[in-house]
Amino acid sequence: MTSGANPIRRDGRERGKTGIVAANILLALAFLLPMYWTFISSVKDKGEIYASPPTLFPHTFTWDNYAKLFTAQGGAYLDCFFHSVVIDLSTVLLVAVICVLAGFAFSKLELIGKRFWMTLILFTIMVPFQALMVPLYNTMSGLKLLNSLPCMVLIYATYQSPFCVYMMKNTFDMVPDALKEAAYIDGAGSLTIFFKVYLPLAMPGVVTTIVYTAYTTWNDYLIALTFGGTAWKTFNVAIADLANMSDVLDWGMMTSGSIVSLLPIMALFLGLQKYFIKGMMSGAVK
Amino acid sequence: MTVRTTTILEGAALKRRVFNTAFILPVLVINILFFAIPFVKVFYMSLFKWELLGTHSFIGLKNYMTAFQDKTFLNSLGFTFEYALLVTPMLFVLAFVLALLVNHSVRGIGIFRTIYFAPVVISMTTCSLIWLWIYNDLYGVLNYLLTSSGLISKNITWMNQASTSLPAVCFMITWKMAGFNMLMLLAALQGIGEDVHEAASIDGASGAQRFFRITLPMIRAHVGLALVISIIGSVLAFEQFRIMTKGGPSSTTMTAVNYMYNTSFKYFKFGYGAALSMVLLVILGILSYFQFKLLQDPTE
Repeated sequence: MTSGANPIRRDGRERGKTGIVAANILLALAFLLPMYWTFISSVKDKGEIYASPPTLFPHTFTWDNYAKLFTAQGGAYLDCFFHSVVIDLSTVLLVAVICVLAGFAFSKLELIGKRFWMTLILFTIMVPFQALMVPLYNTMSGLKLLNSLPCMVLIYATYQSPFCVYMMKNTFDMVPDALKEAAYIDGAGSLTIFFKVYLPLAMPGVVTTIVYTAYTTWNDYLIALTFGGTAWKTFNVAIADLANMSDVLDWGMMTSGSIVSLLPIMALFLGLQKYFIKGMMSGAVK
Repeated sequence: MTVRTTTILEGAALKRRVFNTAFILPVLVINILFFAIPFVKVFYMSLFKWELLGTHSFIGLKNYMTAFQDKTFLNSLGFTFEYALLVTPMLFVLAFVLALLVNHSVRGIGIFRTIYFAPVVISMTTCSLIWLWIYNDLYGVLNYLLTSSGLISKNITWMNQASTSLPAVCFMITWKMAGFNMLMLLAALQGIGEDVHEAASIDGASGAQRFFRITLPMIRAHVGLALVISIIGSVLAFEQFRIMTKGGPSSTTMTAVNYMYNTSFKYFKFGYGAALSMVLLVILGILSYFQFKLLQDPTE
């Protein structure tokens, strides 16, 4: 039965809809306010940012805080931003390659000890990284890798790959096996089948993996703090340090730093929302 | 079928399987080196007096005995659970409201979903800084709004005592994470057919009745799963308190992970830090067991 059959109830629904839109608009504004506040604070000049009453629309508009952020301490923050980008891209590249291969193998190929390895990988997803930092630090120190790029990339890859393998396996599972049989009969090897038949069909899963990895690595704090040292300090660690300085805090730098930190990931989110949400939701329901 | 042909076939199949296994080798190697070995080693290390300098010596379960008498550690565990117990209801009430508000086929509803989800993608570090600015005692916009509207007479130093900093951090987390739980609940809500609600409203059920008597029971398992995930996240809380309250004053807002971090990487007591990690692993293991159970049978 459609609601059109009952004019009174339909009327009530229309009114209900207006109420819902109104409530949504109010809540959406409230959700956006902290981000808006951070941005306008970051473009206020030194006098206005600390002014009382605070201004909702800045009278001054200046990029000085951003300029200061990127030139302070001989460009230390710029260096950290650069570290974050290099670490992020390296991790994405490594994780994408090894997880797509492994996901394909777990889905479509006969392997030695397949079940055992898959169980190990699923188990890894359940164990929180935080509880293994101490032995990991010891391992990395033994390998003389502490405070290096490989150290961080390997740790990120280790703790992100189980979920990515799982996701890629599911992606390949949806591609019918018949394709493989046909290709085998045509005399194609495992590699040919992978590159020519399956990979093109699995691209949405690959994009989800890339987005998930880029996001998780960019937003990390704990691994970077523990294993990056000063040599590979990331932007997140650098701006968090601003809040831990004992003397007067520079809110111009902290708000502009916040914007610089969230901008790349927000752009990625708005551009690839579908993949972002897919990655995060299946990440939760792992 | 003769034995001989079987062996030849098996030989070829075995060769192919060995070759195929190379596909998973990179993942396995890093998993064993940086997950499986540390996973075993964390228990091993917890049995030693193991510090940065000097040798380490076997002390059996002494680290564990120390942990269970360590006031700061027990307080940090207590605080972590207090945080989880406070933030979870706040988060879920808002998430439910949001999920119900966006579970409509109104044109443009996707924009609202995007906005509610946006804070989820911002790092915890950045969110902590954003709200630290809002909560700032001298120049913060919150104190300005509260004093100018006459709700408080003088500025509150939000981060200076646990009684105000804990709710303030929970409020920040609610803003940051509600969108995530909204999506989980929305997925569950969309699994309920429109006809169920139609039938209920024809039977004269009110909105609240429909929500508590029909909607909630039908998505119980999904809510359970979302709750466990959220609690696990809260138990692992670190940067929000490290950055916003620095664990203070005098460790009153120190979370368990923060204490473990300080023990291991500030004071370099690796053996003791490993024992604390083991306690954390057991707690999270129990929570993960519930998560696993709920995942196995998501409908009931």
